[in-house]
Amino acid sequence: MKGWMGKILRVNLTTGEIVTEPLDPRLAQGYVGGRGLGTKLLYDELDINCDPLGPENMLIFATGPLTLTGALSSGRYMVVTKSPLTGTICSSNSGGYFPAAFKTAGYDVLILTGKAERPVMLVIDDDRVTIEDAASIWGMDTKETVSAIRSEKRKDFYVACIGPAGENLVRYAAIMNDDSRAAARSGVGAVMGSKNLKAVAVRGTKGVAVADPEVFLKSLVISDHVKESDLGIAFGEFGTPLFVDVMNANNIMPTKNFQYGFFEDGDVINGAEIIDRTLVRGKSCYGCSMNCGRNTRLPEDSKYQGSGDGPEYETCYSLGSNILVGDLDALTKMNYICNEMGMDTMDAGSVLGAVMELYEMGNITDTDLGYSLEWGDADGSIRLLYQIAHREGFGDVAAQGGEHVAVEYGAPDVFMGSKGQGFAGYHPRGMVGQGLLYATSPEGGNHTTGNTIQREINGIPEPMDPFTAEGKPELVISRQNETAFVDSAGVCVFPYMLMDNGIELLAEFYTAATGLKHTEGDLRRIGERIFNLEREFNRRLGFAKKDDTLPKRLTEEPHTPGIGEGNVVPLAEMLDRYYSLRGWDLDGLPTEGTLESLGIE
Amino acid sequence: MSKRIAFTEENCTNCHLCSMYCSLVFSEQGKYEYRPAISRIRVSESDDQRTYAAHVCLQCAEPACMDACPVGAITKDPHTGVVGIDSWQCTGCESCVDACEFDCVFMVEDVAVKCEVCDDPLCVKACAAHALHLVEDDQVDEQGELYREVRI
Amino acid sequence: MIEVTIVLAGPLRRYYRTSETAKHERVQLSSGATIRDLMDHYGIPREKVSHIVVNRLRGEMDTVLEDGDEIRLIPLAAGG
Repeated sequence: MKGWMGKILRVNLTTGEIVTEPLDPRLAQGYVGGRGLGTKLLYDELDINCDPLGPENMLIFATGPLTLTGALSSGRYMVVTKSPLTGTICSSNSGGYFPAAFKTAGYDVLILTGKAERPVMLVIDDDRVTIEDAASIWGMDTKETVSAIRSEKRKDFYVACIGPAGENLVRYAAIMNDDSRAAARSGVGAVMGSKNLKAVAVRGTKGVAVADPEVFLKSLVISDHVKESDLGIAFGEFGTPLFVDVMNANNIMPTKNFQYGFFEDGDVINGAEIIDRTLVRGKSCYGCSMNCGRNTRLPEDSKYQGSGDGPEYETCYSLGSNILVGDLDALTKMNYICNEMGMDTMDAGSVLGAVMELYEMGNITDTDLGYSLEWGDADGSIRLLYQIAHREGFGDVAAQGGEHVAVEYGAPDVFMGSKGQGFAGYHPRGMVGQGLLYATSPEGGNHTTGNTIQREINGIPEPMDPFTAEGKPELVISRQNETAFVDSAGVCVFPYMLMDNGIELLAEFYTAATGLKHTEGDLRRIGERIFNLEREFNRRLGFAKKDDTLPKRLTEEPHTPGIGEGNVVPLAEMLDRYYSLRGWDLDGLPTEGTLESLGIE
Repeated sequence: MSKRIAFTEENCTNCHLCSMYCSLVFSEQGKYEYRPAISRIRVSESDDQRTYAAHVCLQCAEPACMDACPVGAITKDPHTGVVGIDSWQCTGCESCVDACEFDCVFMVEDVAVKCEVCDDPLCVKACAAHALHLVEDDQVDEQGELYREVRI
Repeated sequence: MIEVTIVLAGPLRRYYRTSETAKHERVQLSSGATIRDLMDHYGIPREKVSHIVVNRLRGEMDTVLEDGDEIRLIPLAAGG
């Protein structure tokens, strides 16, 4: 097989059984890898009604056929499982170096089942796979964990691990790799923790074969092109925090728990401020030339100390504008804490936003918290973040997610998320297609299942009114299908979404790697299949139109001053047309005809 | 004259594209593989994460690897200055690997390998950060000094 | 004469006159000056700018500026 390594590694943590088996080529062709293949394996094998934090849940690590090839930004993998946060199927994406290293060990997929009796670590050293005792590293933060594993004879291993948050089953715990890269969303870290699995350490000497190297040699020129375009230069220099300026200017930077779209202190938590104050240098993921990663360090004279990567744009929103923290040092420190504790910065921010609003309302009091937590209180936030990771005090409640907190404290409407997962940093009142995207995402408020910003806000390839329903169902469907494929191929969305002909290029790479001729249309079709499979999976769990929701703040409260003032998200109007175009019924469920035409049983 | 691949640390972004493309060049007959484990240029990050280094042979004026080789498998070309390893003579003892203080000699299937400067180096093409250059000059000792400072 | 405040985002900050690390700066223009005039004043090519925002609302090249206006110029970028 070319592109794929052709092997699945199965590890049963209850029995200690380790088995490798060939990857069925039909499965690979139909579902590709990463998100698609992981979802298909779960669909076929998982006891769907299992407790996500029970031993029956399956935790899947999957690269794609393009991981480690010369496709642009080819260093990604997905963690696929049933989410303890949303109760749905979920796929969490990460980059860095671990995904490529994992592939060199010779497997496309790792399937983890069961639960170890005591904390363990999985060590994959090419063909030698062992389960080792992890008592000495259980309890360590993620940085300490990686250091401990990579001492002496394991210096060349790459590590994916959980921190205290995952160990303590925080519902939005992350699986961290290479220090600060994270499979963060949907609580995949809690699933890993529920299996008593502290880390996966990998090293390999194998390679990925490709069918047509000429295309990849040409890709070096494209890679230069992308990197040297205006967008590439801006992105490489300022990283994702560049978007703070874009969002703020367009009144779509979620501020004060989505009450506003503009943050007064946006200019001190943006990409420029990071360069001027905390940036050590940029950093690229494996196989990518964009250098958008932020290797940072808090200054000597700062109130807070530490170093690591980030914050990325989403964190500038979630732990910055969303909770009115207009201080880069505090924001950076909170980012480091989430990375070290192994926690999703986005849901952390969503929870903090809900807590602060509930505190302002008087629904949560000093007695509940043990301290005050007003808008913009960074030190209070830091305190709560540690408590969440360790399930102490109010942290025990907050660890269950923003929706849980909002319901528990009498104001469900203050949770800014969908299906239990907090939103990403794009305010739907200023770009309503994104609202439709959030509502119909398989795992709730996750924007990585598609993102409408390039069209709705940047007007590429052509301008579109971001405030009305017109054309949004079509746009969202297109973005969701594309992204489902990208997430299955093992590459990063950035270069493909930043270019006009990104999916066409991806089809060329996919063909060149695997030797299987695919057009842009084929990729979209496969993406559509994967997205429908996720929908069908969720349907079996009882999810339907009633769960494709947005909070009233977005659909009923008019947008605040600035661009788009007065606007709301016309969700109902968009949803019916969306279902119809997708070939789903009025309850948002795929029809038999649609499933059949996509080859889904 | 000295021919070598020169590495400029400040420009490096830790992307490993050089390593990926070098490995493609050295794929087995009939295969095209991205296989970092056989690459003659390897990238690593310092423990404090401040430094990214592409380890690629400096073609030293006085190669420690050459001195360490017990069977004379390593020689320095008098015209190009490129230090080469005769894989047929190599016994896999790893003395050269240990001797190289820049960590630029690697074992691939029990034989020592290192950069011997391709005519049209793909690693240089692959590096979008302009951190690698093919140079032909007499400044090996200077480069050696620079490298000692960033050694991991 | 009018005085306005300009905010140049991302790589556009290279065009600031006071300092590249400024968050904003004040600039004097003739009465009736437009966004186009402002960009000409700074020498910023049209194609480098993706969004023009005047007092938090959408602006155009022909938008006439008034004393005290705040103008944000945003380069091209996307989401993540």
